[in-house]
Order: sequence, then C-alpha cells, then structure tokens
Amino acid sequence: MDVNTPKSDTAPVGPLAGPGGIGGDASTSPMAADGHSGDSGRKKRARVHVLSATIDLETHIANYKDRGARIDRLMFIADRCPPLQADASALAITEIKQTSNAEKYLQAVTRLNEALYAQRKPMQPVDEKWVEETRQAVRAKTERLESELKSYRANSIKESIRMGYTDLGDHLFDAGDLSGALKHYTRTKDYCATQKHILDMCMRVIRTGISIGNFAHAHTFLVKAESIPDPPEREKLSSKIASIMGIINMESGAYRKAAKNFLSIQFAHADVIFETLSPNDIAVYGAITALASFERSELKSQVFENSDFKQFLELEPQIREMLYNFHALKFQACLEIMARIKNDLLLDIYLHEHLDTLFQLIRKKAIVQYFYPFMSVDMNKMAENLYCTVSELEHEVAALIREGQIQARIDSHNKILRVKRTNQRSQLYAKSLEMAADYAFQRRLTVLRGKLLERELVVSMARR
Amino acid sequence: MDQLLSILLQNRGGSPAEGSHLQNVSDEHQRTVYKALAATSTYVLASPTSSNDDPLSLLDPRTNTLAFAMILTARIKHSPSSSLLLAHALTFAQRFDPRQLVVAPQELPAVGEAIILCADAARCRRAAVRPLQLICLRLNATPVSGNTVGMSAVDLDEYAFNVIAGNVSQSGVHLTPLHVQFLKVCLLAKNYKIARTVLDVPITDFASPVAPIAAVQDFLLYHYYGGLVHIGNKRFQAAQQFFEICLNAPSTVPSAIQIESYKRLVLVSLLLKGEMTALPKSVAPIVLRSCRSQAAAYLEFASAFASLSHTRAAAKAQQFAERFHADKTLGLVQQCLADIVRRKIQQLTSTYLTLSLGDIARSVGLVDASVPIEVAEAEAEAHVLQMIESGRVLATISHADGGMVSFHDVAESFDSLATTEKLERELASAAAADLDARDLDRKISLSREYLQRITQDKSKAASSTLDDDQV
Repeated sequence: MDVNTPKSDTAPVGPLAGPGGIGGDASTSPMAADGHSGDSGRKKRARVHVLSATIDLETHIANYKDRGARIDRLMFIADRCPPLQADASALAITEIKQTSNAEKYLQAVTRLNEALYAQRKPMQPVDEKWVEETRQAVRAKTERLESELKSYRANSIKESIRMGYTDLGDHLFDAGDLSGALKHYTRTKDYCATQKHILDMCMRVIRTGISIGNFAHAHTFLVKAESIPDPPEREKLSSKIASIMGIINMESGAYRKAAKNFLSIQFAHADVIFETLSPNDIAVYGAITALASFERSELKSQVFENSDFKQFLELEPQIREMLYNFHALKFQACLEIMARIKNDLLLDIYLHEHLDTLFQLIRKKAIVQYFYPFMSVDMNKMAENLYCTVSELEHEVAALIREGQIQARIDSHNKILRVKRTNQRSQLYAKSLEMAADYAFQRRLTVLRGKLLERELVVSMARR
Repeated sequence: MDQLLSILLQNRGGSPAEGSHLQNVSDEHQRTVYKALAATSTYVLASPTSSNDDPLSLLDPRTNTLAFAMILTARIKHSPSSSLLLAHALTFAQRFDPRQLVVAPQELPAVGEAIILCADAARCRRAAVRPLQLICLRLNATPVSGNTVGMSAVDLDEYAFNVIAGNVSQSGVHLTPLHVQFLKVCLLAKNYKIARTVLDVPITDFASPVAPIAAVQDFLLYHYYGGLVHIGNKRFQAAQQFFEICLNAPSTVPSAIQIESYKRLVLVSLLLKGEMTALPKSVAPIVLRSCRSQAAAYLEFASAFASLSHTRAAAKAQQFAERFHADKTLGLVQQCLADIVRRKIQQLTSTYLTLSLGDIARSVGLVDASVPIEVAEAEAEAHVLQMIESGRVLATISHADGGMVSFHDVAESFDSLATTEKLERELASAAAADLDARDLDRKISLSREYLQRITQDKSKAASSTLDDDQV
C-alpha cells in the first residue's frame, strides 16, 4: 500500500506555510502545515483534527512490538488525521485480521471506506466470511474456556483456576471485550501463589485498564506490583513500572513526576517497557515533560547527564535538537522545532490531550529564561526570538508577571520589558506595620471574647 | 413633690458639692435618695411643684444627678412632646455626674430611651444625637473608679476632637446601653461623622457600674451599628473589624444581628481585599454555618466578584437585587461593582509601566460591541483619575501620546521622622498590650475556677490511668 501519497487531492488542507519538512525522511513526507489548523478549541479539549502530518506511518508503527498497541495507535491516527485516515485504517485492518476482534475490524473498514469515499476511490468490501468465522470461533473458544474453568473450579485446583481465568481473559482481550477481560484478570487475584503470578496479574490488569482508559484502576495495581518484595528481574521490572507510571502521571497532569519516571528508564531495558510504548515514545514524552517542568539545573543534571536517556534521545533526533537548543538558550530554533513536530505529536495516543498545556509550559519557561539575564529587553526582538508577534508576547508576559514568574513590568508604550525594582526595606516596614495592626486586633478580639464569657454574656436561646 | 424637692435641695446645702473625702457618705446618701425617689410614683415625679415651678429648673444635675434623671424620665414618659424637655435633657447631658448613678444602674439607659422618645415626639430625631453624644463622651472620658473632676461640655468637645484625631488611647472604657442608643440615633439621623467621637475609643469592658449592659445583644448591636456607621464614613477597615467582633461573640445559637453583620462583612471584605477573608477560628461553628446558608446570595456575589468579571458580578447583583434591596445592602453592592474596574486597573500597575487608555479599557473589560472605543477610553480615564486622586495608584496621564498612562512606584519609603515616631508608638502600644495580656493571664491562672478545673482534670487523668493499670 502506498503510504506516503502526496496529499494534493485531499483539498482542504491548511495553509501551506511549513518551514520546510526536515522530518525523518523529508523527501516523501507531505509538507508540515503551520499546525493546529484553526479548528482546535484549545482549552475545551475538543477533538483536534490534524490536517497534515509528517509522520511516516509504517516506520512509526513498526516501532511497536505489540499488535494491540499498533492497532490502537493506527485507529487513533485514522480517527484524528483525515489525510492519513485511509492508510492508517488499511494498515490497521491487516493487523486486526490477525486477531479475533471482529467489532474492531468492522470499525476499521468503516473508517477506511469513509476515507476512500471522500477521495472518490472504490470502497473496500467487508470480509463477511472472516467476520462470521471469527465471531463463531470466539464464541466457541469462550464456551470451551468457560467449561474448562468450571471443571477446574469443581476440582478447586488453585493453579488451574488461575490459568483458566487468565486464558479466558487473554482470549477476551484478544477479541476486544476489554471489560470482560478485566473482570477475569481481576478474579485471578485470589489464586495467585507466587510473586510472579501476582506480577502477571497486575500487568495484565494494568494493560487492560489503560486500554480502557481507566488510569486510576491501573494505578492501583501498579502500586501493588511495585510493592512486591524481591520480584524476578528487578531491574527490568522497575523500568517497566517507571514507563507505566510515567503515562499515568502524564495523564493526570503530574508532568514533573512523569518526567522523572521516563528519565529513570534504563536503555538496556528498552525492549521490556510497557507494551503500548516504543523507545521513541520514551524519548519524546521524557523530553517534553522534562522541558515543561524542570528547572535549568535539573535539566542539566537529570537529562543531559543521564546516559540512558541520551541513548533514547538518539532515536528521536528532532527532539534531541529541541532539548539542546533550549538548553543552549536558542529558543527560536527550539520553538521552531516544536511548531514543526506539533502535528505529529497530536497524533500520539497519550500525548495529544496534554500537548497544548505542555507546549505552553515550555514557552513560559523559555520566556522566563530569555528575560532572566536582562534589566530591560526590547520586546520586538524578544518576540522575534520567541516565534510570535509582539502583542501575543505582551499578553504572555503579562500573564507571567501576574503569576509572579517574572519580576518585571511592561512599558507598553515603548514595548520594553523592565525589571521591577522592589524596595525590600519599605516592603518590610509596610508589612510589619500591617502585621502589628493585625495582631493588635486579634488580641482585642480574644480579650473581648474572654470578657464576654467571663460575664456570661453568650448568645443563646431567649429565656422565657 | 414639694416635700421631695425640699429634701433634695436641702441636701445640696448640707453636702459639699465637691470633695472626695465625703464620697462614701454621699454614696450612702445617694442610696437613701434613690429609695425615696423610687418610692414616689411617676405621676408625682412628673408633676410640677405647688407653686407651679418646674422642678427641673430648680435642680442642678451636677449635684442631684439621680433625682434629675428620674424626674426627667418620668416627665418625658408622661408628656413626651413638651418642648422644654429637650432643653432639660441637654442640660442634664452637659452637667450630670456619672458617679451619682452607681446606686441605680438602670436609670441612665432609661434617660437615654426617654430622650429618644422625646426627640421622636418632637419629630426631630437629630435632636437626640447631641445629648446622647455628650452622655457617651462623659462616660468614655470618665474612668468610673477614678476621681476626676467633672468636665464641662466644652472639655468634652475637645476630648471628642482628640478622639477623632487619634490622640486618645485609654483603658477601662465600658460599653453601656447608651452607646447603643447613641449609634442607633446617629444611624437614623444619618449623622455618621459625629458617631466617630464615640466609636473611635475602643471598648475594653462592659460592666460599667453606672450602666452595665444587660444582655449580649447590646454588645452585638453596638458592633453591628458601629460597622454600619463606619461604612457610612467609608472606613471599611474599621467596619470589617466591628463586624468580626460581632461575629466573634461567644454563641450557642446564631443571632440575627450576627447574620446581618456577616452579610455586610462579606461585602466590606470584597471592597478591602477583593475576596471574602477567613474568619477567626473562635467564631462559633454554628454561627458560621447559619451565616453561610443565610447569606448564600452574598457568597455567590463574592465569588463572582473574585473572578473580577464585571459582567458576572453585575449579573449576580441583578439576580439577587431584591434580596439585597430587602437587606438594605444595595448601596454596598453597587460600590463593589464600581470597585471591580478599579481593582483591575490596580492590578495592571504591577504588570505595566505604561499602558494606553485604550489598552486599559480593553483589559479591564470596558470595551464591548455596544460601546465605542472613545467612550470606553473616557471612562477608563475617569477611573484612573479618580484612583489617582484617592491615592490608590500613583500615575500620570499624558495626552501627548494619544492617552498614555504611566504608573509610578509607591513613594512611601519609610525613612522620615514620622516613620520612627509611628514605629515607636506602635511598639509602645504593643508593649502595653503585652502587659495587659500578661495581667489577664495571671488573673486567670490565679482564679478559683481555673485552679479548680486544673485540679479536677488532674485527678481525673490520674484516676483514668489507674483504671488502665487495673485492666
């Protein structure tokens, strides 16, 4: 299948103002339009449609070893990116056919046909035979496994019951019945004999939980998995747990914690991280969350001096460039890269919701650090370097001043940002006088109250 | 009546008008006089002498305070509209001697009520203000246990002037029902300025031997009225304190006065701080709870205000307009609404050094589709001008650059002699307060109740540990 068709015929693509595609393989990737194409309600978490992306589907998807992850991501891309909808759904269909998830297959075919219809191409017929066969097979296998389970339970052999539940869960997971799978995985809880069993159970529950989108549930079991004493292959496990914890923290908006999680993953164990993540994702997530939440010194000590993470970064040269540019205070270059990769990242299944917030945080950090060494700055130059217009910058800076992140004031007339001189001494005087007055009043309040009590003057029900 | 009068007048001849060595004797004498007066019916008290003289013109309130008070009360109750009575009341207020009233603590409040009654009957509420003010001033200025020579009315006015100038700091000021009456009269007469002469002396106690307050309601009312007066004088900080004191009174049930105080406290806090500040922890939880539920409209308005969105706040004000109107808080609410814009402008000063009037109008939300930009700019300018005049911001407006406002830093640098003086004054008052607190602490720790409680608790604690051991 031709993945990277130039998108000349999908007419309503955004303005073609891309600053030159320097993507993974620039020659074939469509031009990166100037991102966030209008229709995104930023704060409303509305569904963002990416009208153009530089993503190379096949290479991107090949990073994921787990089939479920591949399908989920492809479907997500098909959902969010009209230009890639056809290719992504087609790829997804091939993958889904190897599972027994008939519902998902039908979904994917519908998506594909929508896209084909829009491109006025012949639609693909549904493979009714496969659907029917799969459905039957699933039903048969479910029944078989259930009856097996029943006999295990009758014999009450712990290990077999656990295996029975796990098999049934696996089967349902494969067939796309996630909540059913979760139910059966959870039931194995009572039949776990060894630490490995508990760990297996936890991991399966976490995987299913995250697939459903129930991150809180996954978190509970993750904590459980973490607390297993002396687990087999501790090092590998801790990397895996860190990767999961990272996603969960990112999802809940705890970017700083998430960054720490991602940065603690060892490159040697890149192959055992959470199934739905690729090592590339670790680099992207880690770099962006770290940029958004770390101080400069922390960036240096925890990112640039982190040999494991450096190796992850090698996988994503753009991200690495972005990080280094930021650290070298080349904000223009850094923000340029951010604008360029934004569309691709919006197609990431975990990152998309947080991308705007994270990028805004990074911008704020950039503005703060840009201004840090100066007494006064010409805002025209500053805007040029920070990749925005002066009035936009003025708004951003005003917000930062209000938040107390920049100690400065804006000379809006001359478009100059000046450091605010605070007179510590007079502030101290003013503050202490205020405090003295407050204390005096508090004392008065207490004494009056005490006197009232002493004289038994208490507001109470009227005596008759 | 003639008989009575002769006793009184004769007594004046016998007892020295002034002189401390005879204080005790005169106390006893006062008691007998009081007994005689109390035994006389009000009808008799209210009647003129046989020679048709006015007994009040014969008596001197300085020496016969008690008799004068009781006769005045009786007369007013009998025929409140008599024109001479207000003049008599004023004489009384100017010259009465509080020490002589110690034997009959309920008489002075009665006089106060009578004066109000009299003024009402004359359809001139304002007439009651001055006598009551003088009475309160004298009570405030005269430490009851002390032995000061009575001040003349002129002295009292000087004292009042000093109070307003903030030069009076004294202890042992007792709250009396007269204070409450005075404030009420001031409020009704809308004469807020004069109330300051009394309000600005902080109350420290409420067991004046002359006229102790009978119920906690007087305490609550005094501080509620006081808060209202302070609002009238636009002294919101003081108003906030008064309302807080009112809410802080020990309570087992919420009082309606407290709830009304809370409503106004919310609005005053908005004007001062921009949000509802936390109340002291000692406020009874039950009071707080019922205040919150009773004043829900105010809290909603407060949260709209805190968002500094004029439209939101105005919408809330509109929504609860009837409520606010019924509570008579509409004026304060309007002031809050006007304050939002100024508060926003004030925020801008910390962010900007210069900003054009147009930008100011835009960022505080004066601009909308229906308002042309020139009008909005003019409005913004008016606000800024008003704020400069009231000293809330330090700024200059330049029309040369098309209406540019430059904000300046606060000039107060705390390096003048006045600062040192102020600091010293503050330190002295803090030290005095500290001494007071220590005294109180000592007194409490030596009090019988405290010691009893302590020993009880100890024995209880000891017995409970014993029980544990036995188990």
